[in-house]
Amino acid sequence: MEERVRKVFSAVFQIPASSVNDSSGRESVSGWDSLKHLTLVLALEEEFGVRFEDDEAPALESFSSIVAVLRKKTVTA
Amino acid sequence: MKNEISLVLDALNKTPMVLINLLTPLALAPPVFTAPYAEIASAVNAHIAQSIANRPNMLAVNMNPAIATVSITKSVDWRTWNSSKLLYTVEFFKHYAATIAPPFLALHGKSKKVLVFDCDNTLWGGIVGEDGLEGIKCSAATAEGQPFSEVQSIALALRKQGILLALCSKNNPADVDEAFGRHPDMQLRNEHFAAKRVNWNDKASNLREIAAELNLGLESIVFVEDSEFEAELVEQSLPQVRVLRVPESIAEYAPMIRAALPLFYTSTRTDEDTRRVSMYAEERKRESEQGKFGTVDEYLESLDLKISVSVNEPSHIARIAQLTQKTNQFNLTTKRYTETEIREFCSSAEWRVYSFSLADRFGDFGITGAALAKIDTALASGSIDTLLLSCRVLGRNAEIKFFDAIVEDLRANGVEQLNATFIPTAKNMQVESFYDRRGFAVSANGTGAKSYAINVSAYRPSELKYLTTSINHGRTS
Repeated sequence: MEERVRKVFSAVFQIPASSVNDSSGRESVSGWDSLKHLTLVLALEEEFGVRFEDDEAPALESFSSIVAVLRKKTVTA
Repeated sequence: MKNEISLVLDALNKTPMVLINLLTPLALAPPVFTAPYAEIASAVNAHIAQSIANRPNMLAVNMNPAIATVSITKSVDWRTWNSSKLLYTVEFFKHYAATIAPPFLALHGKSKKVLVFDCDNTLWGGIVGEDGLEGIKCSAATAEGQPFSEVQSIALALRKQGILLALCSKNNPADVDEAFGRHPDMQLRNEHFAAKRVNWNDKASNLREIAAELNLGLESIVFVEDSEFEAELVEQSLPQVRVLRVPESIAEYAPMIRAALPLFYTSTRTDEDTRRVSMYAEERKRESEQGKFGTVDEYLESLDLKISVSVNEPSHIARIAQLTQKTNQFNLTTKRYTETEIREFCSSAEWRVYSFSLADRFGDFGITGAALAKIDTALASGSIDTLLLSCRVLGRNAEIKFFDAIVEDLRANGVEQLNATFIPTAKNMQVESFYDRRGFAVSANGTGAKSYAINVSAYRPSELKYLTTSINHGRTS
C-alpha cells in the first residue's frame, strides 16, 4: 500500500516516487498548498475507493499518517 | 449582475477560447412544482447566451448531460463544497471533461472529416447480395428498418455540415449501385458518397485508398462496420482509423452514432464546409479530363486556373482560423489559431493576413490557403509565421504563385529581408524543402525547426504561365 500512496504523491506533487518517505508532510514537501492538498485527498479517495470524513482531515497532513488512516479503513492491497 | 457579466466577458474577448459553464439548479434538487433556483438559472443563462452570441471565441457549456449521466448524488459533494467551494466530484469531472473535449480537439486539427460505412447490416438491415433489393430493410415505418433509416438521416445531416461520406463494402458494385439508385426507402443515394470502394479487397487497403482519393489522412476517418472480423482487421492494421461497431442490439445503433457526433465537431461553419461535398464531384470531372491530355502542363493549361489572394479580409477570418486548425500536410509551421487571434492579426499594423482562393473552369475551390507574415518596419524585415494550403488544391503549382504574391506584397510594404521557418511534424514532410526550392538560404538549423532567410531583391518569382493571380486588399496599409 505504501507504494500506491507514493505513486499518488508523485503524481500530485510532481516529484519522484523514490523521494517520498515517512517524514514527507505538509511542511517538507514543496508546493503542498491548499489546492494541492485537496487534489491529494481526492486522488487518494479515487485510488483506494475510500471516503475521508471531516474528523480524519488532520491525519491527511503527512505520508505516515495517511498510510495509518488508510490501514484503519482496512485497505490492505 | 448584468454589468458584471459584461465586464467579465469583455475582459475575456481576446482569450483564444473561453468555455462558460451555464448555471444549473440540479445540485439543489429543485422541487418539481415550484423551482425558484431553476427560474433564476434560466434567466441568467438566457442572458449569457445572448451576450456571447457575437463572440465567436466563447462557448456556453450545458453541464446537465454530464450530471444526468453520473446522477445528481454522485456528481455533488457538499463536503468539498464546505471545505473548498468545490461542488462537483471527480467522477463528474471525468464525464464533464469528455463532453467539453470536442472544441479542444477541433482547435488542434483532430476533428474527424470522413464517415465511411459498410453496407449490409450497416446502412440497411439484411444482405443485398442474398436478400435482393426487395429484401433489405431501411424504412422508418418498420421495426427492422427504423434504426438504419435513422442512421441514414444522421449521415445526411453530417453531409450538409461538410462531413464527407464514403462506402467501403464487400459486395457486387452493381447490387450496391442498384440499392442506392432504386430502393424506395433509401435516403442516401449514390451521389451522396465522395468515395466508394465496393469490391472484394480487404477493407484496410480500401480505407487507405479512400483516404488517398480524398487527400485526407487516415486519422480523419471514422469507419462503421458490423462484422467483428472486419472491424478487428481495420483496428489492427490501421490504428489511426476510428472504428465504430454496429452494436449487437440494433436498438443501440442510432444512439451510438449520435454519441459519436462530437468526433466531427468544428468550431465554425464556413462556405467551404457546405460546398465541400460538391467540390469532390467537380474533382472527379477534373480527373476524367486529365486522361485526355498528353502532359501534365497541357492539362493544367486547359483548366484555366485563377488564383485570387486577399489581404486582411474580414470575411475570411473564420475560414483562415479553421484552415490553421485543420491543415496538417501542406503546413510549414503547423501553428493553430482561433478566430479571435486571426482577427487581432488582421487589425494589427505589424501583421499581414493572406488568404488564397483558386478557381478553374470546373468550379471554385473557395478559400483553400492562408499565410501570416509579421513585418518589422524598423529593420525592414519580415517573417512568414504561417503558410498552408489545403491538400485539395495541390498538384497545380498554385502554392508557388501564392507565395510569389506574398513576397511581392511584402516587398511593396518595405520588407527587404525575409525570414521563414519550417517546423517538421509527423505529417508535413512534403514541404520540408519548400523554402530551399524558393531560393531561401538556411540561416539556422536548430533541433526540429529550420530557419531560412532571403534578400527580397534576390527572390525570383516563378514563370508559370497557366496561372493568373489577382490580389485584393481588405485594408489599406
